[in-house]
Formats: sequence, structure tokens, C-alpha cells
Amino acid sequence: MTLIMFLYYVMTAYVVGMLIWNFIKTKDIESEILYTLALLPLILRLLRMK
Amino acid sequence: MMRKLIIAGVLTLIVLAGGIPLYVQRYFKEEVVAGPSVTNVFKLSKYFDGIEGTIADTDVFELKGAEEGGKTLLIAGTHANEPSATLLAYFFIENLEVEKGTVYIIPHFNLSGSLGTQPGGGFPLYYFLETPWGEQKFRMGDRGFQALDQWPDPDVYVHYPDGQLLSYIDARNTNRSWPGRPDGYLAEKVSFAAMEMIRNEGIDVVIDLHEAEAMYPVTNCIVAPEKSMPYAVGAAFYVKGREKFENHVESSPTGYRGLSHREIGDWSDAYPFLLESPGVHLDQITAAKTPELIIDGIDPFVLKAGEKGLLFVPYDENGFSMDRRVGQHSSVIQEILSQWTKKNPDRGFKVSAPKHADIVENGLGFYLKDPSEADSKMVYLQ
Ligand SMILES: [Zn+2]
Repeated sequence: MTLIMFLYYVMTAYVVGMLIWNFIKTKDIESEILYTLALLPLILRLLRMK
Repeated sequence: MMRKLIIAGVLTLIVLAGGIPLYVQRYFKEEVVAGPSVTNVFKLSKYFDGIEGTIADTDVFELKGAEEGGKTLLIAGTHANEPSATLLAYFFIENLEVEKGTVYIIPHFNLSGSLGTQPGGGFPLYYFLETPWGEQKFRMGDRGFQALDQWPDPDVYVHYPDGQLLSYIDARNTNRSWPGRPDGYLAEKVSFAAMEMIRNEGIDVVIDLHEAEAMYPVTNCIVAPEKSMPYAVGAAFYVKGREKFENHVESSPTGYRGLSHREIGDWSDAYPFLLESPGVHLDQITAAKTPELIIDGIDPFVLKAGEKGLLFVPYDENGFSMDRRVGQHSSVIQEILSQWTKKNPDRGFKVSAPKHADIVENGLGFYLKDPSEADSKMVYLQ
């Protein structure tokens, strides 16, 4: 893994953390679903599934 | 709170349902049985240790004849969504007889590409081939390196050494990465390793195997640069005359960089060729991209396009089967080597394997060896 690729994984983990944080904080159902949709590809990448 | 738990639960289920099959496919191994002509199996990193231990490294099968002669390198799996290439490689590894010269075969040149399908394109994870001993299963791959292995993509891919600007996606395409470089993207490194092999081994003929859409003009053909042209024309002429199938010749453009049929010839003494057989599963207009479509090449929408004169290949309700595609590759390769041998007898070849008519008659599966019946030392996991 190159340094740049590693940094992209760090950035992904950061964004996943922020999205989960926002998901927990929000009271609006539409936002909850939107955060969930945004999380999907990022989690698949973090888990090295796709 | 309950609502959040339900939404998070649904997300987890989607991740697992979508992700686990992809994960399992990435670690699924295909089996190939080394045939009687296989004399050695080694890693491509033998020629460039910069790919050693990485996903860019891949197996090279050597089939060396008793008599000294020329050397040829057959590259399959440049685009892992064009499966007749890798199946031809397996068919040759198991069946090709080599009396004179050396044949090197790489079944998965872009191994990473073969480790994941194109879910966004609706492609299946696997395709299956009927054999006398049951069904054999293969991974359906993607056109380029998996983003898991080469990430991020650049905004624009700058070809080395020409500097031509290409689409960002082609940074992962091992048919835009030639002649490669030792410190570039993984796609460039694997091409560089192959160039090192071609130069150090003194390979005479390099044949890169592909499939293309029926609606794309560069299909069902041999692509060749100027120096390879007489052999390509001879091969096209002879397969038409003797074996009665069409395989025209396209000239390799000089202004479009990174392609195997251009750069290999420009950066080494080898004579490159690129073979395209028609894989209609690649056409955008098809019905569902099923494993059956990949194997039988029968599609009602492609047939309709054919009725409207939109295809560049002869096509009817019988489709363009895997047997025909692999059969064509087998015949055209053998004919190119035969044309080469006529003009370069000292660096010639004497090889044989079933050709187009036999493979269409008996089916490709008939020729594949049962790994469970073979000596386990001869079974290679790919
Ligand atoms: Zn291709």
C-alpha cells in the first residue's frame, strides 16, 4: 500500500466517523437515511470489500 | 432511538448482503492443471522485483519444446471482463503440445482486475463452463485494477513516457500502461515487468488476448503495428481460407499511446499482436448480464442491432459462443506462429492444440482437465 493510499483510508475512516456522529446527533429521519446511504460505500471500502 | 437502531440494522444487513459475496469472490481460486508441455511455473516478478509480494505479481507458465526455437508470450487477462482470453490460456496450459520453441502463458496479467466483477454494470460474480466431469467455475473480473488495490485515481492519467493525457480510469487499465515504469502505478509496474521479461528473454512474438463488443469496429480482428502486419495479414488470410471464419486486420495507431500492440513493438525487438474476439456480453444494449450470456453470447437486443446493420461481426440467433471465441483465439495464435515460422525458421515454433472447428464441435469444456483427478502437484490455483 502506498502512502497516498494509506492516507485515503485514514480520510475515509475520518469521514465515516463524522457521518456516524452526525447520524447519532440528528433528529430528522431524512438526514438519518441520507447519512446511512453516504456511509454504505465508505464502509465497504474500509472493510476492503469493494 | 429505536428508529436509529432499525436504520443502522438495515445498513448493516445491506453491507453484509452486498459485501460478503464480493469478499468471497476476491478469495475464490480458479484451478488449472499443468499439461504435459508445461516445463516451469514462476512469478513475473522474476524480471522486476518491484512487484514481488504485491497484487501486481502473477504466474507465468513456461511450455518449452525439446527443440530450440523462438519464444512467444501469450498475455491473457489484460481485461478480466473478457473471459475467452483466460479460458484460452487455461486451454493451452492443459492441452498445447510444444515440440519446438518456448511458449510463455500468463492467464491473469491483471490479477487484481480478475478479483472483482463490475457490480455497477450488472455483471455476475462468476461464470460456469460445462465439462464432462461437471461444471467448472470462474471469476468474472473487471476491466482494470480493483480500486481496492490501486487507489486513488488521478484526475487525468498522464501516459509515461509519452505524456499523452488519457482518461483517469485508464490509470488502472493494463492496456494503457505500456511500456510501463518501475516507479509508477501498479498497472505500469506490471507492464514494466512484462517488458523486462520480453527484453531479457528475447521474446520474438507477443500476443495479447481480448474480447470486444459486437457494436465496436475493432472486434473479431488482429491488431498489429507496421512490423507485425505481414504476419497478421497472413494469419487472417489463412484462417479465412482454411478454417472459414472471418478475422480481419486492424492497424495499430501511432498516435494513441499505452496500448500493448503499439508500445511492445516500439520498446523491444518483439513483434506484438492483439486479438479481439466478439464478446457480446460487453455490449451496452444487452438484456441481463447473466453467466449464460457470457458463455453462449446469445442476446435478443444484439440480434436486433444486427438486423439493423449496427454490428461489426456476423451474428445470428446462435450467438457468439465461448467455444467459437476460444476456438478463434486458438486458431489465430497457431496461424500467427506458423506465419512467423515460415519467415524465421531458426526462431520458429512447432506447436499444436485443437483449433476452432474442433472446439466448436466438442465444446471447450471437453478439453478442460478435472483438477480432482489430477496429481495435486500439477494443479495451480489462480
Ligand atoms: Zn480488452
